[in-house]
Amino acid sequence: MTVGHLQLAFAGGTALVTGGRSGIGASTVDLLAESGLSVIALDVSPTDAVAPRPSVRHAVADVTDETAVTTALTNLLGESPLDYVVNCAGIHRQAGLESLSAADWRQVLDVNLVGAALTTKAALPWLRRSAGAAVVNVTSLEASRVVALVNPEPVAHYAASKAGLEMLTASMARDLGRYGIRANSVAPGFIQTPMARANHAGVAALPEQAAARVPMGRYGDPVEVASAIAFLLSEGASYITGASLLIDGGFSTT
Amino acid sequence: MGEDRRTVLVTGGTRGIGKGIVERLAAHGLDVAFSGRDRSAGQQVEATLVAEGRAAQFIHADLTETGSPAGLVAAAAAALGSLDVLVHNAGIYPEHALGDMTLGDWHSVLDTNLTSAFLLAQAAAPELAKSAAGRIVFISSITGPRTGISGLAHYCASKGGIDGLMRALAVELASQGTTVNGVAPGTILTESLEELYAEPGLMESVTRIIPAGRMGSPDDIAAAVEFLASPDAGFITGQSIIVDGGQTIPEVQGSS
Repeated sequence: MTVGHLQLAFAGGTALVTGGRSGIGASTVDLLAESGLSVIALDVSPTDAVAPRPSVRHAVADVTDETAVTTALTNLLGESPLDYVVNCAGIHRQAGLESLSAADWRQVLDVNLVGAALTTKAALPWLRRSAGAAVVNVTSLEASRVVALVNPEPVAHYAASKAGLEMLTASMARDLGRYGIRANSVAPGFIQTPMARANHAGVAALPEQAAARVPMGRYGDPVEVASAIAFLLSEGASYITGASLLIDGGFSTT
Repeated sequence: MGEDRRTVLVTGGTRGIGKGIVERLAAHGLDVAFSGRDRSAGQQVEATLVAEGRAAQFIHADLTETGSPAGLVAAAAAALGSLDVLVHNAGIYPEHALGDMTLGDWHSVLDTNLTSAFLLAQAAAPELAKSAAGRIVFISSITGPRTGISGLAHYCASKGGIDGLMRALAVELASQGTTVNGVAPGTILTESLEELYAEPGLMESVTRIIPAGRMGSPDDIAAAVEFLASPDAGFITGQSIIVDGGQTIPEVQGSS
């Protein structure tokens, strides 16, 4: 490791990453595995063919199905502790209120917000067996700011789900603090992910226009979010709980 | 400059949080210059770190003296050969009730805590521009930006000012690749806090309102500084990380 890079203090341990198949979740799985953790990458659909790594195990479960998450953890962990949960599973849909169906609204809230709550609840028996457990929820710049720039159509349900996840994080910090479990969030801005590409809805000029509005002049790389997640899970962050960290290249300050 | 060397200036590094930052960064291989007003304390910290094989050097400076911030940056850049990171931690928190606060008291706190931040950043920006990953980290506080404390109006205003300065410079220095962020400590157990909370039972009553069940340590702050100062935090700018053990989560049982 070169001087100045984060020296993560993971003396072993196990992490569960939801939405671990692509984008920020996949980067987080990679970084945590490289940092010495055993990682469970959980996703709703089976993982594409990937090079097998002894430190990464894949599980298929819907985060909105508490029983399915419990079953997956029982199968993979048995009575062993779980040290970290990263709630990264999320979906993004665009629709103005007029065309927004109740089903769409509930689906986005279910996956992004209820899913994080139920996954953490399902994981709690294993987290309580750890000496220094921590949860990181992946929210969004759109939790605190309406961003029309990268969304050709409005995203009320997505924005509301992520704002809810911010408050869930603060409440978790209080609630889980009694077990010594910390809870924090990271709020990514414009990051180069498959989800961001889908958002652009085929508007080819959008990424360039959006990047020009970011003080850093570019999109973030998923690993730059993963680094912040890894820091917040690490021993160095042992006094940080209930905090939220925007990773947006300075966009929200403009 | 090579990937294997990273240089940093820490102000107010002779005691408390600043000393914790100096110790952690030096222990992790950064080349550290640090300043302070107390010459003998600074020399002692330097001697201890050097004896442990760390790259640390003390530069005496009183940031309220005219020309001192720019002179400090120039001295640090010359001594280190480059400057990748500026950590501005130096700060004072004397107590004055509003009715008793003189303009001199006000200026003293604002000059030390806030005006020095502007002058240090101004002097450091051209040096940081030469770095592959230039970083400024300001030590702010939860006191001022998030909460208020009676008798600390000048301190609260200075720390609120630090956050505004931080956000403006984040935008202004982004094009040169320099990120500008803050760390906002909660109640951190330092030598001066122990003096401040000397009254029996006070320490315990403060600890009771912190969800983490303990006061923070200087190393807790240093770890957050280290993260923001690292090349890994390159897309984070204009942000403040609260390191308070959950103290500012509203309505936590027992908090006021």
